[in-house]
Amino acid sequence: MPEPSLEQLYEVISTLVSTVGRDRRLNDPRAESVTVRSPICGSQLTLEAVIVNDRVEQLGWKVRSCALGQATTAIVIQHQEQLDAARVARVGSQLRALLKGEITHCDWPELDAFAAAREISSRHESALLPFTALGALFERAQSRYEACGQTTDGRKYPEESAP
Amino acid sequence: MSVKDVIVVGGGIGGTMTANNLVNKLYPEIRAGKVRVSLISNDPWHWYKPAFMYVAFGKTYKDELRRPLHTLLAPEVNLLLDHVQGFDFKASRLRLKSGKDHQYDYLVVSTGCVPSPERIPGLKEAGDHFYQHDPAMQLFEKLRVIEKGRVFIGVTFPKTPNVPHQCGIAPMETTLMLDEYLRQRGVRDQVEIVYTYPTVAQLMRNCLFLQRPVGEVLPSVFEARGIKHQTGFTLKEVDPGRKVAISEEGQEVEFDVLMQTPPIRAVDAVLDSGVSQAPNNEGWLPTNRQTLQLEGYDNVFVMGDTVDLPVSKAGGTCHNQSPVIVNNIAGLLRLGRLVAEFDGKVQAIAQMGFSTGMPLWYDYGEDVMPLPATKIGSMMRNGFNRGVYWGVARGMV
Repeated sequence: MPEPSLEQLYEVISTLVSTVGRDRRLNDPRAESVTVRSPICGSQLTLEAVIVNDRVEQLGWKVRSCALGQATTAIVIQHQEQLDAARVARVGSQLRALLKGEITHCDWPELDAFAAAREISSRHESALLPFTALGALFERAQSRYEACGQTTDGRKYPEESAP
Repeated sequence: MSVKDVIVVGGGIGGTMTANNLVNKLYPEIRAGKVRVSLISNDPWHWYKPAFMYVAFGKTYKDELRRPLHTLLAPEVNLLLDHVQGFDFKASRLRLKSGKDHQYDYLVVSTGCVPSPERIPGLKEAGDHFYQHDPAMQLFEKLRVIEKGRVFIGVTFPKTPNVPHQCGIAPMETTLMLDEYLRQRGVRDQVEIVYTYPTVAQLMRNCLFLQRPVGEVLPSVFEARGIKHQTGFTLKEVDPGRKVAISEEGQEVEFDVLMQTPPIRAVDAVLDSGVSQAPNNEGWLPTNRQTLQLEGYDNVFVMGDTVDLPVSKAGGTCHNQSPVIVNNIAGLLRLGRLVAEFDGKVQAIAQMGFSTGMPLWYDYGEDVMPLPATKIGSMMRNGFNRGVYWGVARGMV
């Protein structure tokens, strides 16, 4: 199969970016928020999540990134019902490897077109922003549970730690 | 009964039309003494900035492009000629150069942007632009005498992702106007015009314009006029001695005139407010895309060039933002809630040479769709230049 072209990537991006054109902020008091930046290109993403039993229950976002970061965030949002820490880490690693040219396919086929952005290394961190943010959110959820003497899998959310 | 103070900062097109629109909208409250609308500007003149590009071709002159600001304002607008030195958004307070402080209940920040060629080494010394009056005159002094050589045209984008340069269509407009101007002078055959666009801009594809539908028709438009074009030229520095433009991609190009859309930044008081999260000290204020509120400050609205939104930094944007802000302030005053949303709409009539024009519009969801350039389009643009603009500033159009 031929390598995806920048034109193909642009088509993918064009269909995705409207998903994140409107900010969605969470009012749930259990929501955690994290802001991550790509220092090279200046892209910025604020991601909010309610994480229960090691799974994302709700997702909120404010995307101020280049087109690559907007598109990958939109893809993550499409998969939000399947998001757990292990999956986020796995797909994020796959995307990083794809951008480096080490692999050609990810578990989420929508990401395969991003192989066309291999040469644009200054934007790779932007593309990875939603995975970086979700990783931080899962870590934060883990820390909160551990602080309460619990784990994130299969335990009830500790009410006293709600912000 | 306490009077609600609504303050607009900035006497450009955004601030002027918004102060007038606020008076129109809030007239019952103003008449009853419940609301006061003030405009703070550091310039007693209002400038028709989009026409500076005509100055570069000797088509208009300074006094045609300005009006005393007070003559454009409704009598109910309290005009303060002063300079805002500090925004204290947390305390809802402005610090002015005169030493006065002003509290506000609602604030509209419409302070524009500042062309900053000094941010590229050598550009201020050897480059030209048309985004301010005096630089446009300086450019005209070069264009009116050039007999042969190369006019090299380039575009610099802000480093903030998805924030465009000032007036997105202007580089294309002026390229076509330059072609026609040099033909009128009879020297076009001896002067090469080279239009370039940076490599990545805000996207990751090489192109001649930020939005693809326009970018796709530009090559044929340029080629029909013998204008050379090149993608992938991101100006890094200029060697004034050798008159050479040097790109981040490693290319060096000699020029006789360098017509470069320069880097831009927010005004000092906005930069110093500490609220901006924009990279490269550009200072764009984080603005809610729909409500146009400054993020984290519900009583502050941002418009025009000062926002960090992915829409053109142009008067045609202000024209659509102003009603949203006015309606939202009225909604907050009367109902206690926001009532309007900005959809990203921008409209303009692009000057495709001196004798044809192209109406264009887009929003957050739709790119500009290029239309045929027509003489009727140019007549519409001329009508706007000669009179309609002042009606827009007065909030009448």
